[in-house]
Amino acid sequence: MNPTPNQSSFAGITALLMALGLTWLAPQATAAEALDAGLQAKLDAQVKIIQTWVGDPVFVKAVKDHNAAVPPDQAAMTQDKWKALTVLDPFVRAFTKNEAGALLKSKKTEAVSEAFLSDAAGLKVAFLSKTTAWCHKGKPKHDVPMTGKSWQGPVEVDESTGLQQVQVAMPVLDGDKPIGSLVVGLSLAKLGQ
Amino acid sequence: MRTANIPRQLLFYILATVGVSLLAFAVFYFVMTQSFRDNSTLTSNAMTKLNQSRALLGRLGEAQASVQQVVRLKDPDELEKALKELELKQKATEAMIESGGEAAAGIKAQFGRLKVANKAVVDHLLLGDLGAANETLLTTSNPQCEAVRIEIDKHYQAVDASAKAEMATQQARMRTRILERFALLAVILLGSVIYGWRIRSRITTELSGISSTLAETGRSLADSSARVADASQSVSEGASEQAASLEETSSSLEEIASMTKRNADNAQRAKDLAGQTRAAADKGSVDMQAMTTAMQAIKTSSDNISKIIKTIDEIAFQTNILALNAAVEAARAGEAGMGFAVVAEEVRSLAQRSAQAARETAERIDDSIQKSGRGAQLCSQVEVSLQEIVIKARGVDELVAEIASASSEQSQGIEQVNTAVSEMDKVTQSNAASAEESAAAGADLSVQADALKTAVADLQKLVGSAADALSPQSRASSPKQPNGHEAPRAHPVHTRETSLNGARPSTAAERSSRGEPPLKQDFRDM
Repeated sequence: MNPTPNQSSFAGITALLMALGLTWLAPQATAAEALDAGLQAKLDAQVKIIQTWVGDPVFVKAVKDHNAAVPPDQAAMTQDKWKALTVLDPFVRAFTKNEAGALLKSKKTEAVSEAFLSDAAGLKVAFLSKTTAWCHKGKPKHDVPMTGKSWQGPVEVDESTGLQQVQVAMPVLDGDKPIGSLVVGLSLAKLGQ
Repeated sequence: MRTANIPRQLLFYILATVGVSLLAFAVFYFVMTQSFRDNSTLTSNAMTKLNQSRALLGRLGEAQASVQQVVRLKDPDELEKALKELELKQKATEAMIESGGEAAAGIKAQFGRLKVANKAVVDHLLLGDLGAANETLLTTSNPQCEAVRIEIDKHYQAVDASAKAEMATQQARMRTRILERFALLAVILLGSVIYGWRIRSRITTELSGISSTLAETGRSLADSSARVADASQSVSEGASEQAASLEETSSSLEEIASMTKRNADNAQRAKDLAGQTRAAADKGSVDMQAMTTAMQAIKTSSDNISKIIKTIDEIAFQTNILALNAAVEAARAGEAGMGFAVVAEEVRSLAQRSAQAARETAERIDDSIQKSGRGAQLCSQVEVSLQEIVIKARGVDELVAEIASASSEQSQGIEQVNTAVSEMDKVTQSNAASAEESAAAGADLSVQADALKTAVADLQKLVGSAADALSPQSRASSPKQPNGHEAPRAHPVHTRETSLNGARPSTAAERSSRGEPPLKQDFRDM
C-alpha cells in the first residue's frame, strides 16, 4: 500500500526532527568541557541567585528535620526501588509536594531544569522532579557542598531531560555547619537566551 | 338550473384562480420544503458523518499531540495534568469512534493499537526513561497514529461516497416529484383556461343582449324625454299665466276685503249707536213712567186741593150765611148792631170773595186737573210709543248686531280666501318653477339618452356586436318600446292657432283621458 500524503509528511517531519536533534547535540557535546566567558558570567549570576535560596529557613529546617529523623519508608528506599518508581508515584510526588518542594518550585526560573535538596546523607529531602539517583552521597555534587564549598559540574546531557545542562551545588548551612546540599541544573540553552 | 350572475361568476373564477394558484404555491412549497428537508437531512447526516470523521481526525491529532507534549514535560504537576488530559482526549476519541458504529470498526481496532503504543510511551516516561519513551513514540506510536489516520481517511471517503450516492437518489426523487406536480398544475391550468373561456363566452352573449335592450330603451327614453320637455314647457307657460291671473284675483280680493272690513267696522259702529239708541229709549220710557206717575200725583194733589177748595168754599158759604145771619141780627140790634152789621158785611164780603176765590181756584184746579189728566193720558200714549220705540230699537240693535257679526265673519272669510289665493299664487309659481325644472330635466334627459346611446354603442363595440346599434337606419326607424309595441309619438301640438283654424280644440278632460299632456289653455281654464 502506498503511504498517503499525510503519512508521508508526518514521517518526514519526524525524520527532520531527529536529524536536527543529532546535529544540535553534537557540537554541544564537544563544548561540555569549558564554557565561554559570556555563558559562564550568566551562569555565575544564576549561582549567586541560587546561593540566596539555600539560606531560606524552609530549606534549612527541612534538611535539619530530615537529618534528625529520616522517615522509615525513605530509610528503606534503595536505588533499585527508586528506579522502579514512576515519576508520579505518591512516594515520589511527596518530595515535590512538601514545603521545601513547593518552595523550590516557586523559586524555579526558566533556566532551572532540575533542582533537588539532599540531607547530610545524600538522601532526598525535596526536588522539582524525580532524580535519577536516590542517594547522591559519594558524588561530588553532594560531597563538595558538604565540605562547605560550592560545586559546578561539567556540561552534560541530563538523562532525565535529554538537555545540555550544568549542575551547580552549594551547601545548606545550619549556621556555619553544612547539613545538606542543594543541586540545581541550569539549562545552557536557556542561559544562552 | 339557475345560473349565477356575471359578477358572481367572475368572483368565483377569481377566487378559483387564486385558490388554484395558492394550491399550486402550497404544493410547490410543500414539495420544495420536503425536498429541502430531505436534502437538508441527507446533507446534515452526511455532513455530520464527514464532520465526525474530521473531528475524529482532530481528536486524534490532539491526543497524539498530547502524547508528544507529555513526553516533553518534566514537572510532575504538569505531567500529571497532561496525562489526565491525554486520558480524557483518548476517551473522547474512543467515544467518537464508538458513535460511528460498525462502519468505524477498523478505526476502533487501529485506535486500540494506538492506545497500547501510547501507554508504552507513557510508561517509559513515568519510569523516567525518556529515551525509551521517545523511541517508542517515534517508532510505534506515531506510525500507529498514522495508521489510525489512514483508517479514518478511508472511513471519510466511504461516508463521502455514500452521501453522494444518497444525494443523487434524492435529486432523482425530487425531479420526479416536481414533474408530477407540474403535470398536475398543467391540468389545473387547462381547466382554469377552459372555465375562463366559458365565462367569457357567456359574458359576451349576455352583454350583447343587454346592450341591444339598452339601445332600444335609450331610443324610447330619448323620445319620452322630448315629450316630457315639451309638456313641461307647456305646463310652465300655463302655470305662469295662472300665476298672473291669481295675482289679479288676489288684488281684487284684497280690495273686497278692505271694503268688507270697512262695512264691518261701520256695522259695528251702527250697532254701537243702535245700542245707545235703545238705551236712550229705555231711559225715556222709564222717565215717561216717572212723569206719568208724577202727573198722577199732580192730579191727586189737584183733587185734594179741589177738595180743600170745596171745603174753603163751604166755609165761605157758611161764613156768608153766618154774615147774613149776623147782619140780620145786627139789623135787629138796630143802632147797637150797626157796627156789628158793618163787620158782618165785611165778613160777608170776605166770605163772598173767599168763595169767589175758592171758585176761581177750584176752576183753575179743575182746569189743572183736566190738563194733568190730559198730560197723564199723553204720557201714557208717549210711554206706549216709547215702548214701541224701545222694541223697535231693540230689533234694530239686534239686526245691526247680526249685520256687524256677519260683516266680521264675511271679512274673516274674505281674509281666508285672500290667504288661500295667495297660497294658490305661491303654489302656482312653484308649479311654474317646477315645470321649468321639469323642462330642463327633460332636456337633460335627452342629453343623457344620447349619452346612453353612445355608451350602448361602446358596449356593443366592446362585446363585438355593434352592428346596428346606432346606425342611421336604426335611428331613423320608429322607436319601439321594450315590449315591442309602437312607442307613442310626441303629442300633437294643440295651440290656439289650430283651434282658430276651425278644428275644435280638444278639452283638457279629453286630452287627459287620452294620456296627452295638458296645454296652456287647460291651465287658463282652471
